[in-house]
Amino acid sequence: MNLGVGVLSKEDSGKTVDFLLTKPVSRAKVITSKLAASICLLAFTNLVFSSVALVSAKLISTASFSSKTFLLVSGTLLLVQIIFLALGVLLSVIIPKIKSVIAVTLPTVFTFFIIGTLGSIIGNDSVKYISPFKFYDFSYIIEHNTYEIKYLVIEAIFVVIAIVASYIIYIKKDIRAVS
Amino acid sequence: MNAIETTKLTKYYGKSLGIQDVDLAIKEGEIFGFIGPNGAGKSTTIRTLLGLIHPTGGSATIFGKDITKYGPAIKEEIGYLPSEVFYYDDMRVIDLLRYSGSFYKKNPGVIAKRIKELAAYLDLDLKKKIDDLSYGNKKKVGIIQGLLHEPKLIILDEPTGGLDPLMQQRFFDLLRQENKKGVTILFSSHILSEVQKLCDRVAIIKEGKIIRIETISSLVENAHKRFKLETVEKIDAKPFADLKGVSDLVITGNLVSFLYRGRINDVTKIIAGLDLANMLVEEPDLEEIFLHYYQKDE
Repeated sequence: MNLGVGVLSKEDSGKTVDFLLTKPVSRAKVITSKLAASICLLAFTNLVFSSVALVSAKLISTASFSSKTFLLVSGTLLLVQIIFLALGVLLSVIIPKIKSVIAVTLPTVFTFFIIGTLGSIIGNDSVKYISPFKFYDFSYIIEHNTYEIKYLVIEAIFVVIAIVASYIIYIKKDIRAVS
Repeated sequence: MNAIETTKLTKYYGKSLGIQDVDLAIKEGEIFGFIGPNGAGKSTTIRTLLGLIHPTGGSATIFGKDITKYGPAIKEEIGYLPSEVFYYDDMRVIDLLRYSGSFYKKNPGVIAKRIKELAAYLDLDLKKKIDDLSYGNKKKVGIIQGLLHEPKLIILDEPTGGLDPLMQQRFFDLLRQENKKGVTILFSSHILSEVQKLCDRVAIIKEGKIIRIETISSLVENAHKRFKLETVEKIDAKPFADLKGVSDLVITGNLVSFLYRGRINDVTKIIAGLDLANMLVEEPDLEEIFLHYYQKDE
């Protein structure tokens, strides 16, 4: 999420946004480039992480297991990261002055985590739709060797709405002079 | 064609007024000054032209293209020098300038050459890190960044703060050289002596509205002249007080001082009849004229 919040707001807090946006580049292109860079970064780190984990597991494990299932489980990391990336970008165009990225990221992620955990403790099922941490239940994945479709749909809808809204807001907003 | 044309350009920040009904027609190849105090609307106008803020009303075109529709295309030909320069601290100067140049469609070889020329002329070390630069040197980076792609329009928002007098001169020489090539310059400033030196025409903005657009020469010509006379003996103030066009008449002992606007012969006729010890006639500079227009309404 740090990535999502930081990628646009850093231009603002570093005051380089005047420099960037007076160049012959549309605001849409700026967002697209930064999003693409963020996704590449996430995809790459996940690729490395998953491969290393898979190889280590194969080497260490005494019991046999399906690589596909393993990769599905480690893939949930990327899926959750993408949700927070989208949320982060949306927050960064809505919140006017972000001086500390972590001050936005930490409480948000933490809150979702707490909601998810508390929910499972109480036995409340509706939190499974709210907290991204609960979207992909490991036991389900291991049992069915696939993700639960409804959560993938929720994720897709949320990500699309958040990203589209971010584009619209960023393109329409005024960039005020730095003081 | 007009380099910049605005029609009733208006910007409200919520309920508070930024600029209202601003009409400007800046000709290609002009050096146009934009003066006004803090908060008058100079930066608002410039930021609207650059697409950093969106107008509430009215419209503007740059080189004939509407600023809202053709933003990126127009910016290929604009060089913007802001008052406060902020860059990515970790980069070296040359990296930042190359990055800046990379946005433009111009030939990279030409841009690289221009960067070197400008850096040499302004005495800037390209290998230094931005973070290590003094404020004045950061300004130089700003200047080079605005000029390296040889834009047809240069927009300057209070650009000379932080530059030492030698660099200021070099900077103005650079601007004049570009202007000779046909580049249009929009120069917004507090420092009226600079505007007077450089600009052909000037617009005065106050509280969001343009109150006057005129050539520098006619502004100075039509303004009051200050007369300071020292007479041998005390004189009667009446001839001066009665003369139309005299204002701010002050007599202290043998010293007479007043502002005069009108036919010069009328006032010299009166002075010719006096026994003078000393006389001084001053033309106001842009600062006095500006203050005059400024305080007129208050």
